[in-house]
Amino acid sequence: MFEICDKVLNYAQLLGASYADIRLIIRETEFLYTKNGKLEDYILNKEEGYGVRVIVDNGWGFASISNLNKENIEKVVQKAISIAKASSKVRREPIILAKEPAYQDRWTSTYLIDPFTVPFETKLNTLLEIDEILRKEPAIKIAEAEMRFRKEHKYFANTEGSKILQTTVVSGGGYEATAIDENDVQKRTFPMAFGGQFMQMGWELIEGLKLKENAPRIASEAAALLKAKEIEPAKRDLIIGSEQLALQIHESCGHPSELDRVLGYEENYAGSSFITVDKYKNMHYGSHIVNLVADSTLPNGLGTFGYDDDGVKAQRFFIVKNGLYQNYFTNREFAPIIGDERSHGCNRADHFSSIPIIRMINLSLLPGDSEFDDIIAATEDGLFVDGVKTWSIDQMRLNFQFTCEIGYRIKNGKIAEMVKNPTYQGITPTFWQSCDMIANEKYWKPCGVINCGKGQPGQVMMMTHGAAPARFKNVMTGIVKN
Amino acid sequence: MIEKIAEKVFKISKAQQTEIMFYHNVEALTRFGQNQITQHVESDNQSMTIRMLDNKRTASISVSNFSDSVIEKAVEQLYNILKMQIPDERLSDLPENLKYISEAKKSESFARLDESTRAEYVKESIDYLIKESSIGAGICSQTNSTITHITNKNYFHTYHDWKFSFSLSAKNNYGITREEFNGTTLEKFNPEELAEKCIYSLKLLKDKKKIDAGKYDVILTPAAFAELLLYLFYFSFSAKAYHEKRTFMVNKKGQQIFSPLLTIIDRPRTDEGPALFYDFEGSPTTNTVLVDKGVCNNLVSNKYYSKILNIPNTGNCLSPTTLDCYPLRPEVLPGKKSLKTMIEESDNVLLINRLHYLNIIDPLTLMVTGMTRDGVFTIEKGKITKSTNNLRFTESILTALSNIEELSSDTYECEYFLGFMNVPAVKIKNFNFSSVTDF
Repeated sequence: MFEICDKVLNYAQLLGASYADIRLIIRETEFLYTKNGKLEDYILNKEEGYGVRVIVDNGWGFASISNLNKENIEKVVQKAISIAKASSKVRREPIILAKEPAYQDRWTSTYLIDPFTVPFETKLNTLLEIDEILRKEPAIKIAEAEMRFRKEHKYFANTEGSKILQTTVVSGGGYEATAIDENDVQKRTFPMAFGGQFMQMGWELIEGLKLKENAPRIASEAAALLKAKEIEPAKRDLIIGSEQLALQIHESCGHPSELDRVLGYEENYAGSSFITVDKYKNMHYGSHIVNLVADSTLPNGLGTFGYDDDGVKAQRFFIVKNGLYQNYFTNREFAPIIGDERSHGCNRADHFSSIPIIRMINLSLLPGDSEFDDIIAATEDGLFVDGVKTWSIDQMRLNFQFTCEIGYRIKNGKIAEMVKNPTYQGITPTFWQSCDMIANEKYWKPCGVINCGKGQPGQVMMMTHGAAPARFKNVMTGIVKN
Repeated sequence: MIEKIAEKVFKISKAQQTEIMFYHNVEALTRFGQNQITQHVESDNQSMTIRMLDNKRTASISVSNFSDSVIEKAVEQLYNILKMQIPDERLSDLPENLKYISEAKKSESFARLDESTRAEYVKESIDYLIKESSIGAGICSQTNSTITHITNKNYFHTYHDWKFSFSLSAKNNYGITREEFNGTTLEKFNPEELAEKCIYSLKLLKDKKKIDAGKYDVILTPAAFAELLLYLFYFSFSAKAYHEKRTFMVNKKGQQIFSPLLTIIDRPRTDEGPALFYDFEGSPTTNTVLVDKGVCNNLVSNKYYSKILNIPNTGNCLSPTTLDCYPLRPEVLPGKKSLKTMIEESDNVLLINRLHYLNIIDPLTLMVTGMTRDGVFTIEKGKITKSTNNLRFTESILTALSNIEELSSDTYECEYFLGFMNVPAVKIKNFNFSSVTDF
């Protein structure tokens, strides 16, 4: 495959590219989705292709094709060059890439059982057994379960001499139980919403998730939510479980820390960031116990790799340390703009047909020192929430509102009645500055995100957020209806 | 090439009935920020879904590699999966005996589009903004896609879709505004005019007023109204959702629940731009009245759910595997007065330019939350007087649509799942804003 890469890069240089890189990807994916006792969708896909990125006359160009036929090489490179020349006519600043050594390397994610060697029947039967358990609860009208697997070989080469082959295996799955009566629709998911838990692992992940064992509990919780009440709007102490906290980290710390957003390059679509350049290394983001670490070396994380799509080696760095803001997610193009000599290695594309853009890598809240029971016991009037249902945040990533799958009132240090549609709202820095208790490492859990959308054309990226439950003081809870 | 692949699949398939759905998408997009082009891409992607039907069992598989070995393996695996499926008596046979190729009547201006013309459009808009000391960001994109549906029962249908979009944000010390153009033809497109509109709105941002959360009468621009309507169309009119009892239509079908000013028609058989004459099950599409003067009378359906619910098949099947059905090309009928007149006749009203990051809290009441963005203005005695901070709304779409007081006579093409939807501006009373943000 590096033969194709060489041809592409040589031809690009011949046509005047001052820089060029290629990502050639061969990817297998499998997706099984059952609904109410039936395999409703199945995708087994094998795709291959490459994307070529060039700089010509200080303009960027990118073109891709979904096959590896050698006769198309010239056409694809010519298109990328032509696009770069058009771009160069509307360019004001020089493109300067942060320096990075050239690497010749191979990197493989860790896994025990290749999920593509597991028989289809085994996968389907697991899903159908879960489906049957969920629908034993009479209130469950829709039972959905799914598994996804991906195996990818990515060849990266650039005109600076890097040649890197990375092989990644991702597995995951989960289910959703929807309870419906005349007045309401409520759902619970396991292990997480939006398809379940995903990691860079093999079939062993599915075996370890205890999917069937948890199905009766999840079905009965969904049914109970139909009878639960909403909480009255008021300010309370809020305890957030790991899964919801992962989303909170993603939306209110991850995205505003992406440097392309900060610099205004996403302004027209997803928005910008309240963490403007003047706040770089100069802002109280959270309370002193808040430590948020970006880490593309995290074992089994979905944002784990040997090298990013700029060819930059994986790194671990603080975004927030002891409450103080430290670093952005950067790439080779934008790091020099804020005076950083080296990229943090966060340029990622979701497909060979997509251009790499700045994406958060794995981002986690470091554990604290509290026992979970002690956090509950220390809370007089509060709300515990978990499970992702609805999320929304403004374009600067300040005002957010989340609704979770399930909530429980906390009264006088004890867990009390269940609450449906538990909702909370806040302003990001105020919220993180109100964090006063974080559970210890026993409760820390990695949560895989497979549906992070960004960019135009839209790209869907994967990453992992680890968190232990944490408490936030005096947060607005409930749905404000005026 | 497609016919050859289909021939190959049909030859090796052991199922009684086999179909392929072939997708080809060419997308080019020029993205700019800080007054310069920052990303500029073109991609060409093809994929195919094969579906088999045998003794009331069905299964499907997707591939995007069309080599003989991959197709042979996929077809063999699919047949094995098919045998494991549970029979469903309500499944319909695959379509047969039709050849229909929708004609792609693209305008000359669309056909001429390439990376140079897109860059030129970007430059024209940016040059205007620079003269006004403003910073521009946005996209200029063109998409050409084709879906070809072939069965082993002599059915062949090709659907062509194409679209052009240009969106422009302008920013200065006062704030940020945004304008966009969407369409299948470029005859009415003028990048400089969009820049001029952005600058006009930017100047209105100068005079700021801080407001609190609460209920306000609002005028939503077509772009803002379209954001709300997306959720209505996604969650409400599907026969599948109705059967699963997860839409408000279960309790409200046939009732007057919206303002009598509101009429919405699903019009896939349009005379302008790409038209869809057969859905992806091979049924003829129909123009369906979804909301008739505030009354929700009809669902959109496909073969499977029309049988179950004993309703007409409206030909709205978007996926023959998951049997999802949604409105294909909705159109909100306009009102009598222009948006300009609506503003001139309003007092104590907020004008909302766009909504941002909506999400559903309750599918039965269509309770949604989201933010305003790119310009919120106060209208006092017929004049835009000040701009305000952005607000979060938490509101039931059912309530909002029952509180419509006026729709504009001018309508716009707004982004939709398949092509565009045609939407006017709307005036809504007592819209619920639940919190405010810092800018």
